[in-house]
Amino acid sequence: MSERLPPLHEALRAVFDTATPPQPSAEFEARVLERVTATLAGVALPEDTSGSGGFSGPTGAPTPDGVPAPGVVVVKKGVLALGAALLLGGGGLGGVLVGRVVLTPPAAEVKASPGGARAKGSDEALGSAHDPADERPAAGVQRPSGATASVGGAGSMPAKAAGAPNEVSAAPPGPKAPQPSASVQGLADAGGAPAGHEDASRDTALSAERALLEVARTALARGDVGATLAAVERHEREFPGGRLLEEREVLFVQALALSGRRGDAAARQAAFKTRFPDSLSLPAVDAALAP
Amino acid sequence: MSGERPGLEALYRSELRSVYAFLWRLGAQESEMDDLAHDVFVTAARRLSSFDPARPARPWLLGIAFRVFSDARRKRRPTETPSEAMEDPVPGPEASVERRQAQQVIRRALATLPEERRVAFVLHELEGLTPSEVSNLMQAPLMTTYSRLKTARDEVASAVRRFQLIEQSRNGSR
Repeated sequence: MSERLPPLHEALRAVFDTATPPQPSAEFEARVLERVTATLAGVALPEDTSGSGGFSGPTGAPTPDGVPAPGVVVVKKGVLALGAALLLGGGGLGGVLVGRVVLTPPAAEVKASPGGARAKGSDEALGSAHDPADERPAAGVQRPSGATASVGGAGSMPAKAAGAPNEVSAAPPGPKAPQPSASVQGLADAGGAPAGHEDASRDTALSAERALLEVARTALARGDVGATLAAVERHEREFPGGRLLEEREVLFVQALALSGRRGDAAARQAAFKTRFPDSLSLPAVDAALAP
Repeated sequence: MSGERPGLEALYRSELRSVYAFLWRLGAQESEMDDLAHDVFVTAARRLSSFDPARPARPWLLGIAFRVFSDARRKRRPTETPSEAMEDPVPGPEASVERRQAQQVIRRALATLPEERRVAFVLHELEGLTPSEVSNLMQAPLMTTYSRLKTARDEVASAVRRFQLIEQSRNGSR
């Protein structure tokens, strides 16, 4: 068919050109990626109490009383390579850390959706044979208080320091599940903040910091001390006085202790106590070096 | 990304903004964006093996987004009218006044269209898909797509004028 439509009227085109759509924030981008990752891995995130999410479809199995159940349900063998998925945190804060999840295309469609009736024809060319709305994890992992429950607390040290309170930082909510191989700067650049704006720059830097520390947490959670140290050392180089300094130091102490460098860990621990005498992470830091 | 199938994360990083913009233009509200974007990329991940890497990813992904959006609308509130569904006064703090006003006018104008014409219009006029691509994506005959596009243009132009006048009178009365 050779019929062509004439160009859109100039005045109308001008209105559309002016009305550029809003852009997703860096936080949105990270949050949704985390949810996508969790859904594909079959990991249940804790229920979000912030009220986001507009549909009534069932979400992914939040546990009662806000504490995430430790467990990973692989939807279908071979769908994902799930290196490690740990649910961390306690004391009702419900910190969560999804470990390194490698997103690879599935070889086949996953299980049929129970009760997931789809619109007619939707599977033909575009939709899936499985409705992701039926298995959405709750949006985000925001805490009711608005504070971030860092996984620098007891839970991130396998078989150690159980019961120690979580670190609470002033960082915006939402542990992410970044890919360790991803460029941290790339993560930060994806924020869509206008260049040159001071607040946006701060947000961008914070996103980069957070992404880097998330890499460290993920690595620590799977016991990869080398990768943890590499990430925290990089954070130290790139953000020596960063806003997540306290969080980094917790991870540093934990990683050093786990690697057997107890002397270095103790030195960092002492410096940490001097610098952050009132830190909520002190129990976690102490627990890392507990005999 | 020609010749090689992109990984999901690469696709996500490169196309999230397009998907977000597309959903916004279709009328998704801010509160829905999380779930919609989630569903789009979960579906995409599961269909990645069926994606032809020789073709551009965006039309394929927008097709998924269209279907996710339509399904969500059907499931949500069947009796909800488009204008109610698309009322979204929060375009974002970064927007200039002029841009915010234009966004509101566009959103309201698009909301007056029935879904099939709104989707066709957005895909062709704003996302740059050819009528043939729109036709394939919406699983509609090409002639039907042309007809929808022509009608949608008239309707959008008329609605935009109407809402611009309303905006002007509002601003004038302040």
